[in-house]
Amino acid sequence: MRSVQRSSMLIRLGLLAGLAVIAVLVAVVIASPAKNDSPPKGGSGAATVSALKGIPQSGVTLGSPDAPVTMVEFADLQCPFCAEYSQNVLPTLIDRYVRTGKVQLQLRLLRFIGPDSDRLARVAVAAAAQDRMWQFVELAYLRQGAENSGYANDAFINRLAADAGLDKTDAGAAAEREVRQAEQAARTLGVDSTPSFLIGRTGGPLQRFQPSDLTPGAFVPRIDKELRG
Amino acid sequence: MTRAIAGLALLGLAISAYLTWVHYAGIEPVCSGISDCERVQSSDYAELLGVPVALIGVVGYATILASLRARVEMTALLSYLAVAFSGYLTWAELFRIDAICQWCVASALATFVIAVLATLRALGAPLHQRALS
Repeated sequence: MRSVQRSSMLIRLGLLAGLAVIAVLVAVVIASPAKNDSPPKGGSGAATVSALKGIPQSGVTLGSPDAPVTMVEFADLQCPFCAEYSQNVLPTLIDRYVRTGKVQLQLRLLRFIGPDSDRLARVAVAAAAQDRMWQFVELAYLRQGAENSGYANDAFINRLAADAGLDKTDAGAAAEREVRQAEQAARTLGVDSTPSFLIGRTGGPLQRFQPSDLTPGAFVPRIDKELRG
Repeated sequence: MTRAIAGLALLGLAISAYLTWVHYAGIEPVCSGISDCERVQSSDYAELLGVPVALIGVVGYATILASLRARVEMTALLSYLAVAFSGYLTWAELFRIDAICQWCVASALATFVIAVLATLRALGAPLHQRALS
């Protein structure tokens, strides 16, 4: 009798366990961010664009112009570490410092990796004229292809521009001038790799800042230090 | 048995409460050398439909504690849900985020042991109850 009872309980528990696994699987599939991850670099990026919603943007600057601290990043849109920074660190910095008006981020784009970098950088700078550079750049990282594979062709860039909400992609002489200015600034500062960072009080001199790794933990203490003045 | 489950659920509750606090305070959790809690906590997987998973943990452990007064199967079911959910999170840590956090591992182990104990408790319960009555 006891063993009958025990085995019926065992069956009941087995059913419950199955039910639990199915329930969690269903919940997770419905709610999972994994949907955005696959394919890892081809996602629609809607979340990326909406993460920037409501944050002031002016040219290459993201965040309030009155923010007391400025951080400048030199990046190449083909550089995998820049993409890693954008995915692993930037969301935290945006939530904690940019959205709260404490830090403004500036992005200077270089194109030393190759022609794909050049095309992307010029359109990104054109996007800056429409104050939508950050949307374009974040999507470009999300869909980054193999270095110098020619992935940044017209179709790729047009799709990117449309998803970033750009009216038109006029990467003409003005864009070329902007990118050259960024390159000149990089040379002056001795920036020879990407991503490279400068940080300081807004309006004051900026200093080179080399994070130990590309995690939020490597940035937060330094930014907090600048905020304390 | 019930006490052991209660103890582990309290431990899980404490861990989840700590991580929930860390999540909302926007600070870094205390983290051992081999783990990268900040990376795990700031990943997409730290929230499910906008709710921090740590908060889901708080609710889960509290419900398990409360269920100890209800039918034994209830605790078992809740603990299986907890194991399945922890399993998913551990999978995400290992294969999606490429980082682990010792708090999450501790919580996953706690849910696993709770599930084992809750199963034994459920299997044993009818017999004990009959013996007592």
